[in-house]
Amino acid sequence: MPAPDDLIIRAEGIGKTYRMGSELVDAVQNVDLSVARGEFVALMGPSGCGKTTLLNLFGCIDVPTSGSLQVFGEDVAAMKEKRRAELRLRRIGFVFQRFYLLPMLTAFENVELPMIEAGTPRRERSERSRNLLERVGLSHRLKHRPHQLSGGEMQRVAIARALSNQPDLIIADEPTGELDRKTGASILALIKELQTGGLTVIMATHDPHAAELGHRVIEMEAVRT
Amino acid sequence: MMMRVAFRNVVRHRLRTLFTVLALSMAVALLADMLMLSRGMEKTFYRVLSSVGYEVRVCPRGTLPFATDAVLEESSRVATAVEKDARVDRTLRVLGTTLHVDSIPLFTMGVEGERQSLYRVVEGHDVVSGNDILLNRNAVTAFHATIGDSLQLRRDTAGATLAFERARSARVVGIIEVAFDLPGQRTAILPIATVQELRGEPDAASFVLVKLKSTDNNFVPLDQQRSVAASVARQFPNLSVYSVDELMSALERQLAYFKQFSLILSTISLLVTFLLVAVVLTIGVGERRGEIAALRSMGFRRRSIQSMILSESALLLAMSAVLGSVLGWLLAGYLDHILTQSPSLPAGYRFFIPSWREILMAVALSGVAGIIAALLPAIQAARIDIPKTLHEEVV
Repeated sequence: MPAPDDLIIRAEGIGKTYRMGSELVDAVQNVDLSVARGEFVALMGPSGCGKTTLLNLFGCIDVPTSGSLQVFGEDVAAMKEKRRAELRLRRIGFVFQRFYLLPMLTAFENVELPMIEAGTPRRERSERSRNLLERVGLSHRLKHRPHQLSGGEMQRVAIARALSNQPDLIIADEPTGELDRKTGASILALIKELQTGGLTVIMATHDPHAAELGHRVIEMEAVRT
Repeated sequence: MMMRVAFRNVVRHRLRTLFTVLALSMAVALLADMLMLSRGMEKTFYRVLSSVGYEVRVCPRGTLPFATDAVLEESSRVATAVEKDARVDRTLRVLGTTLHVDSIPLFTMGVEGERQSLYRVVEGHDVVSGNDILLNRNAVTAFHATIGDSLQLRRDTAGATLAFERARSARVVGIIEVAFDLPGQRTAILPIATVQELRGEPDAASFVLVKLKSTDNNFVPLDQQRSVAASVARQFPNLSVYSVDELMSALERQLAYFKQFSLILSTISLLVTFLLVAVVLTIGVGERRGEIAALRSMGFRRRSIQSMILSESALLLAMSAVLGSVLGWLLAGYLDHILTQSPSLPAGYRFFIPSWREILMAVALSGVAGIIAALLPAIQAARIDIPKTLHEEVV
């Protein structure tokens, strides 16, 4: 059992209920989970079981409607949106299934963007963007726009972008969902490499092979009411 | 950087941006022209009134100079009484009428020689005797007249077609340019006594112009003009008395239709700007919901997203401002050219006077309308529901 200071996420009985029209839908219910620094946790389960909702909660994108959730020792439900945005910007990196690169910016500029929001000086962000793209194997693609890149390359840029503000936690939601098996494997290897380097990773996936990379695999079930 | 992102977003859909900028430019141009229309008329009135050099006008009750055929019956009594005021330098009585030379109508002004500034003698000399006449270029051409020629002047009776009532001969002594001439108008100047005689109204004047004593640079303060006008009005309550600004107001009231027209079109052009920007940005935000939600999920503050959308609006407006200014300037010149061809307008009269002041005002007003229009999509973008939007994008 890791020491409480080493816990990046501490969820106790958290749940999230959405209103859909006149109905209330429980997206996740009564989740207890702790994630320690440097851990790789894989969330598995069928579509609609609440993996993304849980990632949104852990990533401070959303707030739980019940239970207690602490991220980096701070109570998510008590945080104002401004503080949650600050936390997301500086301490959490997001990797999405659909990459969400800005199509009109180059790979370099896409990686640079979160650093600009964080107020990183120009010289530093330029150097860091270059290094990150080199680290994900795209030093030759700096000036390319997303439409000039393959799916695997786009996801690599997205990973470099997620790392740009030197986060402690990477949240990856189906990062290989839009990629072929071979490309997906290389992306997973990259994510694993990041975790080995000291980052905490929480990844949602359908793929049991991908989930095997995690220290822990959390199996989720669809129990929506 | 947000400005760079905004710029790239704007040029992302080139054709859409091109059409938007063209439409916005036209709205800016139209607004600038409408502002120029109202100001052009004011400026023209002021310039013409100032060029005459008299600060107060005394007219028959309820009329403006030359607006009707009404006259002041005892004009010399009015002029003498007005001149008694120590602030008054001099007065000028003017009597207008239409005479005929060989059945060709000739607008004639009777003035008191050497005391006028309504016209400028460009050839020959001013009227001296009762038989002297001055003609403008149009009259010279129409009557094939030269200096030294004699003309037979007739004045028709009101309502008569062929019967001429009074006639006399006059010798052309000079050629003139007249401040208020309409295009193609034939104008003549005679001593006022001659016109009074032809009209059969011995002491009549269409109006009396009053020149005030100026302190320096021919400048008479506005409050002094108003004060003298008020004093004359008290003295002659059955007459209408105007200072320059009061006359301008009276003339403007008569042209309220143009102002109203200009106001309606200005409002429409601002509404067009507002709607165009709102529609284009709302569409843009709708198309980029996924990107915006991703940016927000990465920690971009609401303020940053808002500033990105507002910057897009600012860029569209900046491009439109440049093009709209040029268009507005050119269009004003063209419209002015068309409208000033109207035969019932005095020469030198302008509807549109191209001016940077109006262009800048149009740009500023359009800018405000555009930024207000961008607020709603900007707020919408900043308040996007991140989980819901990302979920919808994946589905």
